[in-house]
Amino acid sequence: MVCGTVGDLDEAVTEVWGEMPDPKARGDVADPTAARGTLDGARAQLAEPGHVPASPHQRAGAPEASGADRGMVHQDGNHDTAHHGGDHMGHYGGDHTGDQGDDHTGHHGMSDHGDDMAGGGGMEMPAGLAMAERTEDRDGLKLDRLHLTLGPLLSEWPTGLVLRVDVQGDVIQQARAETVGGTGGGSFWDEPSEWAWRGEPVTSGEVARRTAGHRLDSLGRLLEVAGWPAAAGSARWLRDDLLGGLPAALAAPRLGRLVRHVGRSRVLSQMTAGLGQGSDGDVRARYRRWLDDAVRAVASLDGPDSSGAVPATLAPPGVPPGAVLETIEQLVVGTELGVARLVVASIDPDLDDPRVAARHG
Amino acid sequence: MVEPAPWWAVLVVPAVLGAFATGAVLGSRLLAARASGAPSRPRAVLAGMCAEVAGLLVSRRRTTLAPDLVLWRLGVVGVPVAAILAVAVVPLGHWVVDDLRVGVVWFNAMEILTWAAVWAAGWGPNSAFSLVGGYRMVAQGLNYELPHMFALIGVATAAGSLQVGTIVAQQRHLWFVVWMPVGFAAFLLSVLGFSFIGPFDQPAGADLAGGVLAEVAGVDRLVLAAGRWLLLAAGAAMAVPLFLGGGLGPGLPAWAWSVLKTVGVLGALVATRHLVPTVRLERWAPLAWLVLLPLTIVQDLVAAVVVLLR
Repeated sequence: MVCGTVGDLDEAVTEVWGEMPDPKARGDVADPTAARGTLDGARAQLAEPGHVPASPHQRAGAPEASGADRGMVHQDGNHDTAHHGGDHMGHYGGDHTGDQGDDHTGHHGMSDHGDDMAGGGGMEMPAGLAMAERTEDRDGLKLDRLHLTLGPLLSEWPTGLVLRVDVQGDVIQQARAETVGGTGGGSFWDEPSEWAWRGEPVTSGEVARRTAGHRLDSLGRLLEVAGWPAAAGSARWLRDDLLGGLPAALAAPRLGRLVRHVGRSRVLSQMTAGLGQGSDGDVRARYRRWLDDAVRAVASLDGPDSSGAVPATLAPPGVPPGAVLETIEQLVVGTELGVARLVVASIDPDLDDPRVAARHG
Repeated sequence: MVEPAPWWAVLVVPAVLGAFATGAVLGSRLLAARASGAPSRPRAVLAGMCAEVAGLLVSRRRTTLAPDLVLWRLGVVGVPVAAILAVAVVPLGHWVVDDLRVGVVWFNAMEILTWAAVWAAGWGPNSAFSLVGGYRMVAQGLNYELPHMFALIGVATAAGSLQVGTIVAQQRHLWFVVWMPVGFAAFLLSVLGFSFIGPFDQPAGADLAGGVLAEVAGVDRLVLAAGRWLLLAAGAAMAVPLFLGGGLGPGLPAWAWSVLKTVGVLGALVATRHLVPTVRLERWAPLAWLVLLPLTIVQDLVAAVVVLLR
């Protein structure tokens, strides 16, 4: 299922789609009201007796393979990443100018292989891959340097964010953050404030509801990356119910349980303390702030009517929006891949916000 | 009191282990469904699992560019095979496939086999996420293996034998868990470690888009994912004769005690998965080496002194 407008992500979406294992059916939902019909259509398509999966060989140049939830990786800026999660949900990689004719059935990328367009190598290997170049690592050892691209589609990743990194082993040595065009069209989470600016009647409760949803949305992603799917599921369930109009009297106790469970988890606290230390604190400080924000927002769900301009969302104290991409670049250098994922998830840039997405790749 | 089972037990053992693993998966999915507000009636959860298994059976397996197919397939198949071989020495009540004189060592050897299998499954597809996942398994092994082995040594010392049947018989009066709680805890942690599930799921972490699971699809994915749960069930089953008196217990037949205790251990392991986020290796390593390892050594010392004074 592809939800929302695709914009410049089209190429990435197509690639992920090509890498999904058969049998499969694709549905594009631009408008929420069409979701049910699209899902029914996809199901009918899969159930069709004559539904013959496309041949794994039909894709040009692909030696074998039908992709599945594909992994990421790719060396060097030409190919990019694709990734995926266990859930077959998407991931993929971006602008790929692959000259190999394959649309990617493979990803390449391992510490000892390079893409043949990689700067350092000229040595052809059977699959068209060349050797990776080597450079000194932080300990002065000569190690293979691998170019990976994370995003723009990757499970539990800000859609549209492209992080090009050089890794040695699993440690990031250099990073460059970009966004795919098509982002910056206005954030769903800021809608009530925008309506208010335009003079439409918006209650402060509406703003608070959206803010609580936003914090829980971010929290769900972070908890998933932190390897706590049960807690992530609770956060997302509450987010959906809140956006669906759950009354404050029912939301508050559920949020209270979540806050106790997550906020008091010693393991989560130990695992995130000191990571991604920026001007706004570390990963732990960021998720604790989300919890506080959510509690405050839920407490003001029944806020009064106010015509005209309402103060914008509970202003996120975090990183100033214009500096988000730079901050991510700085914080992930020197970290292990898993830590980098946590750092990105804790900043959770909203790329629909034009102030965040200002820098395009 | 533990006797070799007839030859057809070789066929029954994988089925029994599979039943435990299936139960664990169902329990885990039930907890997950409850937490996230999805339909959580047992029937709905069962249907969801069957649909997913069927989906994996009919979807295509996949190959990546320039994979090391031999290592990859060996790794994927090696995980469930190691689990099934490991339980050859685990008694269910009075029955066991083969009560080897070095049963504890056999179990340990099969558990180590999973390091190699998971690493190979990560190396095979020629993909960075898988590769990092495979190496995380090795790093994880380095951190749980010594406490695990010292836990086993404590049991063997206390029983004066490496034979699982003898170990059970030695717990007639008192289960080993009572005076070796640290060894029991270390053993359970290592079970989560070698089955790379729950807090020790970094080799297949969500931060790596599935790690060693990132590139496997279709039946390969089913085999590898099932292998993890078979390993978890095998570890839980082994904890019972080692620490919980095997089939010993009043009233019920021995096999029933074995089943009940295994279900209990498995339930605790599955619950842990839902209560605790992933424990990252760089933060776990200092704890494992500076706290858990010395504690298990002290545990072994206690066991040795008790045996000497007895």
